[in-house]
Amino acid sequence: MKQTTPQQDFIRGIWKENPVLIQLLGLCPTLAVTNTVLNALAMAGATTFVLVGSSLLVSSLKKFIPQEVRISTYILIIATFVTIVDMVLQALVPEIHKALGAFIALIVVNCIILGRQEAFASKRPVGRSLLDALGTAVGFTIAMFMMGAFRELLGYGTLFAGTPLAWAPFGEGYEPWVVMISPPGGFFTLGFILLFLGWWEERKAKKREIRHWPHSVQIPVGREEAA
Amino acid sequence: MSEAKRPPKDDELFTPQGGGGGTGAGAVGPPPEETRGVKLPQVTASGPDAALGDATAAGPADPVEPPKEKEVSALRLLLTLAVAGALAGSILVFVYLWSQPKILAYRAMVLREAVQEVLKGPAHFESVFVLDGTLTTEVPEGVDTLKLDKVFLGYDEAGNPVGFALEAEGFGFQDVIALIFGYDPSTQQLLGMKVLENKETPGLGDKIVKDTVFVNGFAGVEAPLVGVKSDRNTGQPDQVDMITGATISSKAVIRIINDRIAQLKDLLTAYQPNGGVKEQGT
Repeated sequence: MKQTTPQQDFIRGIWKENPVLIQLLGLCPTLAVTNTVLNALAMAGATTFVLVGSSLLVSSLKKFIPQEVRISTYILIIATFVTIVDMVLQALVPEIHKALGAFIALIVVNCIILGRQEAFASKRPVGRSLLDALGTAVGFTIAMFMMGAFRELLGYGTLFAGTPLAWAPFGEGYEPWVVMISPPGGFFTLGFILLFLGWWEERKAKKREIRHWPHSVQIPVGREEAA
Repeated sequence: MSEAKRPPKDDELFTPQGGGGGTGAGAVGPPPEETRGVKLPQVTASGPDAALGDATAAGPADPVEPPKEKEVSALRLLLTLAVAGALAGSILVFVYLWSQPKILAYRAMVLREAVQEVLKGPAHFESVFVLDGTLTTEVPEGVDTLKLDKVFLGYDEAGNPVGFALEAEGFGFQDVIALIFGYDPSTQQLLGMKVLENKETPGLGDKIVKDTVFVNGFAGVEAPLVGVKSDRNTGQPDQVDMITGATISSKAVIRIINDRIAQLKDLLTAYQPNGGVKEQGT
């Protein structure tokens, strides 16, 4: 197992191994509930709670969980947290719960969460697992926010609607792109974000190549490095 | 060959071919799982004969068992899952007990506000239950009021009935639309309409909630309703303007209202309000 520092454990999930933008995990909520910033952030918050809670619990219980039933136990732990989130959201912020609908319950099958348990929390100490979960959650939140902001801006012409920060940068006369808030808009947005990131990485790698030439010929290392 | 460069693991050193010592690059043992207990002739890169020769040279024919992982008993697996399940269940019971009253209170509040809205702010209103084909406020003992169909009757300040609020639901474009509307049986006019739940297309079908012209267009319209395109509205008392881009959802709303009125119309017309002694939801 590669040794990592606590900082690396935290930072890694935020950008370099961003669960959505690099690992392409958890695309179901990313596509489905990012039509407004508020929905996207609520989803990210719920997922963060489940991810951090499950990682803490799995990491502290790892000695008691037999290898043979570990996946079932993880799912049980995750499902419990999800059900708690579901009920709490319904009791405290029913409007948001209504907007997120079935996707709250579907956090159970979000592979980011199970992935972190299997790949990290089940093998590492509690503190590191907490850092890893937090980092991954921040990465997920960033991705959700990017999707939500882009789609809400074009699809409704607003930002942060439903919060005190509500802002309509285009004014009253804006004709919304309805497609951006419907499911195809989710795919378009994700596609364009990934395209942009890919282009950016390639550009960075090329620059690096030019800088090093002619002293040493470097094979550009792009996103494989992160994987 | 990267295999050969890798230092041999403990269990590989004890395979029959290995003979307890390094036999060169070609004789890297097969995965230990295959050798466990099964005495099949092993075919390696150097051929079956060489393998046999190696094995005899090693002396004892019985392969030394590689160190096994500790077997976990089925009972322990069962216990783990059972304990985890029981713990999870009991935690959820507490969360449920805490959240359920809040959820129900919120639902009741939403309904109360909706009734207020579609009856245009009555002084008070009461629940009237549909029981055995009649409307009544008196429910006999032992009948669960939650399971009964019910309507809400609103009264003005003077205690005169202003109209009924009827909940209704039916299929829209994608899923069930649940709504509530105010209806005055004496004039057969609608007082107002509010969609409570819908899963219509965001940006198109969900205008049945957000389009205020459409929503307010129901007040004062005579039942049964007829949906028309807004440029073909001839001003008949039963016409409702539909939303461009949400034709199916608009039609669904109109159909749901018409069906519900048709279902209860006679009951509502025949009902003699008792003055609304019960104060509710003001």
